[in-house]
Amino acid sequence: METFPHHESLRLVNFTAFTDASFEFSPTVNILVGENGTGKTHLMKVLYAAQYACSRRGRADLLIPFLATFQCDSLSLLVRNGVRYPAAHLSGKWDADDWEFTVSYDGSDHDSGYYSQPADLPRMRRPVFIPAIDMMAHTRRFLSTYDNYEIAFDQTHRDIVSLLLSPESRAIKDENAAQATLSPLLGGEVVEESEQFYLKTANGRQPMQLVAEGVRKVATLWQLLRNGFLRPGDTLFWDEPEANVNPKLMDEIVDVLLQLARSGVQVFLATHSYVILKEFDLQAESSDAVRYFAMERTEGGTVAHATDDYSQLVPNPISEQFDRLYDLELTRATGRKRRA
Amino acid sequence: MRLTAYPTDESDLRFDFSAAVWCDKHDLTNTVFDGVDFIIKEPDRQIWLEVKNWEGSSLPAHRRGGQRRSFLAKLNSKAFFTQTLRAKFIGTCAYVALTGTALREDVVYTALLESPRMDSALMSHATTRLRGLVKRDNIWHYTDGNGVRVPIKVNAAVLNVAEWNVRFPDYPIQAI
Repeated sequence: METFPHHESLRLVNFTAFTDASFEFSPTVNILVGENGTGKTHLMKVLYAAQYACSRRGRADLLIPFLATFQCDSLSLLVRNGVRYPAAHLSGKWDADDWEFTVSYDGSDHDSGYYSQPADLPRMRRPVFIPAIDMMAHTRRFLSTYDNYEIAFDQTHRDIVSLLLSPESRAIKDENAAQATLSPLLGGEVVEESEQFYLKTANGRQPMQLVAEGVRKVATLWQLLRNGFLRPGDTLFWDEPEANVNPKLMDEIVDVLLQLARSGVQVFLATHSYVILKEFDLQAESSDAVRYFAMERTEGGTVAHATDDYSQLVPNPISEQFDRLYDLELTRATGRKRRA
Repeated sequence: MRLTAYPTDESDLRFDFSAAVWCDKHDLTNTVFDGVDFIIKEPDRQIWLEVKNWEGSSLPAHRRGGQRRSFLAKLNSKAFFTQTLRAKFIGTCAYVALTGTALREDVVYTALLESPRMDSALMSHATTRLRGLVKRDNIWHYTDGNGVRVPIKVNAAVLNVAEWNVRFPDYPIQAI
C-alpha cells in the first residue's frame, strides 16, 4: 500500500481538555472513541485547522484558521483552565516535518493573548472535514451569509459547503469504486442548481432538505468523491458519521472508508457508534492498520490509549454500556445477579 | 436419561450439575422431537440448556477461522433463532406434555453460544431475540387441582461459558 504525506503525530499541552497528550497516527484510519467532553472533536479540529492553514497559498498563518475553526474570538479561551502557566502548546509532525503553535495570555485577561509559530511550516493538501450536522440541505446562500454575518457556524461548516459546491473534478471521469458502493444507497445521483442540491432519481428530483438526513450524509460523501476531494494523499475528518444515519447503511459507509484509506486517504473519525466500531473490526484486514484511540478523562486531563486491535480498546464506554445492558438483561432472565 | 455421574462432556465442554436436584440429558431422553441438550432441576424452577460451541478444541486450529465465519453467518440468519433454537424449545415442551410430566414450574431457557466474536452487545441482542421467540405472556400455564390456571414464567438468555459460570456458579462449565 502506497503511503502519502500524512499526519504522523500530535502533542497537545494545556489545550482544552488536554494537559499533556500525545498521539501517533496511522496513515490509514484513526478512530477516536470516548465519552462526551474528552476532546475527540477538538483533536480533529486542531489537525484540520493546522492542515487548512498549511494548504493555503503564501506564508501559512495558523491564527485565523484556528480562531475560525474553534469559533472563538480569542484563542486564549482554548487554554486549559486552571493551569499555572496559561499557555497552550500544540505540535505535530506531517511527513517528517514539524509544525507547532503556542497560545498564551497573562492569566487574567483572555484578550491579552498572543501566539507564536515557526516562520516555515510544511506544505499540506487541503483537508476535508464533515461535521456532525448535515450541511447539504443548507447550502443555498450559506457561503455569502457566513462571510458577511456573524452566524453560529464554524469554519468546518463553511468549508464543507464550499467543497460540496465546487465544480466536478476533471480528474474524476467515471464513477469510481467508492462512489459505486454508495450509489445504490442514494437510489440516484446528486445534482446542484443555484447552490441548491437535489437528489435525482427515476421518479424525478427532490430538494435535498426533503431527503432523509441519513441519505444526505451518504450524498455528502458521494459529492466529495465526485468533486475529487478524496483522492490519494487527501485527509478526511468525519465527526460522528453515525449522526442521523440508520445503522443499516454503516456496512457500505465503512466499506467506502476502507477503500479510501487503502487508496491513500488518511481518515480520522470520532464516533459513539458500536456499529461503526464493529464494522471496522470485522471488515478491516490487519494490513489496513486501523488504529483506535480510547480517550479517557482523568483528573489530570484527557489521556489517550492507542491500539490496533479493537478487542484491546480500553476504556471503551460504548462496550461498557452494552456490558451494563447485557448484565441487566441476564439478571432479568436468570434471576441471578452478578456477584460483586 | 437422568445423569448420575459427573462431570459429563458435550461439545468439547465439561459440565458438572451435581448440585442440581436432578439433571436430564434430554437429547438422550427425548428421541421423539428435536429438543434441548440438558434439563437442570432446581428446587423451584428448571433450566433448559442448549449448547452450541464454535470453539471446540477437537477442530484443528487452521479450520477455526472458517468455523467462526460460519458461526457469524448462522447467528445473523433468522432461521437459527426461529427454527433451530425455538424448535428445540418447542420440542422439549411437546415432549414434556406428551409424557405426562406436565410442567408446573418456571423455566429459564438458556442457549450457551461459545464464540470469541460474541461480545456483550451481540449477546444482549441475541438474548432479546430469543426471549421474543419463547416468552409469550399468558400462554404458558398449568391448571392446578382446583381448576385454576397458574402462569408459568418462561424466560430466555444467551450466554457464553464465562457468563454462565458467573450466573450459575453451582453448575460449573469448563472447556476441555
